[in-house]
Amino acid sequence: MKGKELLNVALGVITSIGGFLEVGSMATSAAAGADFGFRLMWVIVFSTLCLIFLIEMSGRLAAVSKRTLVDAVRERFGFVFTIIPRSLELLVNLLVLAAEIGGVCLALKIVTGIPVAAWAIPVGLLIWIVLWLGTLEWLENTTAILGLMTVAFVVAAWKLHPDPHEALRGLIPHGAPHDAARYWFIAVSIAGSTISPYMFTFYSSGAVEEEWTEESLGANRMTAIIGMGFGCLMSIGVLIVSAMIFSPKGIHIDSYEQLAVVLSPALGRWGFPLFVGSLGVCCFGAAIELALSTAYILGQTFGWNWGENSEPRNGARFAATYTAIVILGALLMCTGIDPLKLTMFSMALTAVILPAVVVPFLLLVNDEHFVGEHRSGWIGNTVVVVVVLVASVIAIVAIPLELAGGS
Amino acid sequence: MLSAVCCLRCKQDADEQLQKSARSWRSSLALVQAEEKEHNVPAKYVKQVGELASKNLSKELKQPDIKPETRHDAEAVVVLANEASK
Repeated sequence: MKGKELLNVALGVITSIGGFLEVGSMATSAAAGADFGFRLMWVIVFSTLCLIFLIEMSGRLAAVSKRTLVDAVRERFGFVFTIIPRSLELLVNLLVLAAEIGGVCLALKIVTGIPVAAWAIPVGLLIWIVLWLGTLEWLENTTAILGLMTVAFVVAAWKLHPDPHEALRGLIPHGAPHDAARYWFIAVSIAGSTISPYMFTFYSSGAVEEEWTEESLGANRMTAIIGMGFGCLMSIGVLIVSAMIFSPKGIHIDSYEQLAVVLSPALGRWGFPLFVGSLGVCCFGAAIELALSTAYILGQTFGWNWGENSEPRNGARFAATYTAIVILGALLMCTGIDPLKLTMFSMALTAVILPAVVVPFLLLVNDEHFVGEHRSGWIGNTVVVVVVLVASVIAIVAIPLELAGGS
Repeated sequence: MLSAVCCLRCKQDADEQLQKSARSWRSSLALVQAEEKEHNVPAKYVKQVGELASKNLSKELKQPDIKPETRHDAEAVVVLANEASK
């Protein structure tokens, strides 16, 4: 691998690590640690394994076929079929975007005491300004490099000296020790927050915008494996810290505010600002990705000009779409909806819609017309099908139970 | 019969839920107050946790069929939360 390629891989890996943690993965991992100790760690690992395959597949599809995921689905299955997965994705994107805006507002609320609803419009405006003025590369790199402060969770987990046997036991799948409905609801929420469809839509669109070729396949694979692998460590870091600080004290996470001191016992006076900074920066970065991903979906579904690297006037409908979704997301947070409940619900809902988004995608990356000789292997196909279907079925059962339980 | 079982379950659930919530918020308040002393966590933040604890527990205390000892315990946490939120 040449110097420039290595630099691209390193940048891709940093982007993946810095961009991995967002409001969903933070909330679900923290809830898992507080309520069930290390017992749900295996869900993070299995979901990340599935995500690695999906990210690699979306990059490969874009590099070989020169089409984004949405373009390829439309071409292969027709416009009418495309509407089904894309509509579901748009609905979930809106809810998750609102949750991410809520995450930024919460970080600001924790520092200033000013309510979340009062921050929603200014935060939405800031996201829109950054989207309007920035280029894809600048947005990706800036938010991801700032997002590296989430490494603090791994450092804190290390400093708390978790029992290695207990931690390793958490990697083995097992059932609920108590409160089964809550256990499985958190499990599918973790899966939904990790295997977010917007990530592979965004990734494949980025690959086309950056004009990847078949020569990029090695870098794509390394970015997916190393970047997502390290990103998974961040989520595990959140779970471990939460399990060690909250679980022994019987603290159940009812609001994000409770989480703000999770790093302090390990990192001292740096803990609080690092938590608030991580929450704000990660959610801001994810909100940008979600708004762009939504604009990519609509632009590619309807065949509009699209691209974050072009001037807004050259892709007016693309720019109008991300403007509209940011406004809607901010307005949703203005209603006073509980950001934590919205996050957990939208993550579980993501797990429900996964098969509708992933199955057509799998057919494409096994179709010679699109990927030529670079078709997926049976291991990747099997892992993705099993994880996605199991997560979806459990989510369909667990969401009503959780809502009925009213936890 | 079924509705009686459901009723009994609701009664147990509300009481158990309040016990858990009271314990959780008591520990949360203790943690943030300890961090305020040890690591200079802002008082503004401690106040927010106090307000949340008070609001959530007061809402749960309105539910019927709470045992007197559970109610007493939860009310004590609300007092602590109100002090923290000042």
